Amino acid sequence: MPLITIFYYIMTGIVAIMMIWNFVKERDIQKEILIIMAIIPFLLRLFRLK
Amino acid sequence: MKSKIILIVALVVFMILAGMPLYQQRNFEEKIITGDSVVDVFKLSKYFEPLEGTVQDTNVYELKGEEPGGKVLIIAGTHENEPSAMTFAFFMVENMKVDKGTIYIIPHFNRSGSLGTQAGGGFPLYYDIDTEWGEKVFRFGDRGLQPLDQWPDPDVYVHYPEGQLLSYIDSRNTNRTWPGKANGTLAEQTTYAAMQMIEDEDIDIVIDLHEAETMYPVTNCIVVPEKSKPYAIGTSLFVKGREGFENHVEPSPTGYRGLSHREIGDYSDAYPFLFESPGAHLDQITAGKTVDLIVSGIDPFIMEAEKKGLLFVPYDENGFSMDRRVGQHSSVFQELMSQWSKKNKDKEVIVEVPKYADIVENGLGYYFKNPDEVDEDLVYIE
Repeated sequence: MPLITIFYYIMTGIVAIMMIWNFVKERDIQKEILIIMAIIPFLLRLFRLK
Repeated sequence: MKSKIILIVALVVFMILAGMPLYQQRNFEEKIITGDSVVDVFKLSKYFEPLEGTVQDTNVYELKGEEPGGKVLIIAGTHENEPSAMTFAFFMVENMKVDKGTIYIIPHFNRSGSLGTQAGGGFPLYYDIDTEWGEKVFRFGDRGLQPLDQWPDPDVYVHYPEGQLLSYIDSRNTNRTWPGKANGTLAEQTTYAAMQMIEDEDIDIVIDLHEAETMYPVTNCIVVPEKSKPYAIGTSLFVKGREGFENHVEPSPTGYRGLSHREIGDYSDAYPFLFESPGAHLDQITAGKTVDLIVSGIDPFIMEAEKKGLLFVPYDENGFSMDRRVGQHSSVFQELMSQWSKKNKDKEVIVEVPKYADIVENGLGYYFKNPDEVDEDLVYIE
């Protein structure tokens, strides 16, 4: 796997962790839903599904 | 807290429901049965080791006649959303008898592209061909490599070695990365491996199989550089006369780089030909991108466009079925072999395989055997 691809996976992982952290801290249900929807493409890529 | 648990459960359920079909398609095994003329099956990495073990290390089928002659490389699956190329390759591996010469067939040149559909375009994950023993199922793929296999895309794709600036999306398009680059991207390495094969095997003719929109002028045709033109013109004229379907010749542009019909001609001694058959499912104006549309080629909106004179192919209520598209590829291929052999007696290629009329009459499925009922040594996984 090229180095730049590895960096992109690391970046994706960091953003996904930040989203999870925000989700845990969030108290507004609308923002919780927003985070859950936004994290989907990051997880699909991290799990190598799409 | 309760809302968070509900949302996490919803996310997990969604990921499973959405992810499983994608995972299954990426691991779906197509079965190809080798015919009597197949003497060897090997990987493309034979010509370029770094490709070994990658998703692009695709199968190459070698079909050999009893007499030596010319050498032909048939590439299918450059664009994995153009399915008559792949079904034609499967049909040829299973049914073609080579009397003279050697023919190499690659059914999934862009193998990564075959492992995921164009989901954003509303295309299905699979399509199937009716046979006497049931449905033969194929993966429906995408035009380029999957981003899972080549990522990220550049802002601008710089073609090697010409330096032309192309769309970022074409960095994953194996018909924009010829002649390839040994230390380049996976797409560039794939075309580089094929160029090595062309040189090492001293290939005479390379045929790249495609489909194009009915509303696009470069369809129902053979695209060739100057040196391949005499053979293509003869082929086009004879198939029109003998087989009764439209076919014309399009010149390969000299200023547009990375295409097989341009770079193989410029960077090797081989004669490149790119066959286009009309794939109505590729047009933007169609109704739903269903399996039926992909296989039958019948669409009411294309029919309306035909009435308004917007198409570049003859089109009626019978559509452009997979049988017709594969039949056209078969007849054009055989006529090309005939034209080549007339002018190159020392490198003749003589083959026997059903042509357009037979395939349309019997249906493509008629020519596919049941993989569960043949000797398992003859079955290969694509």
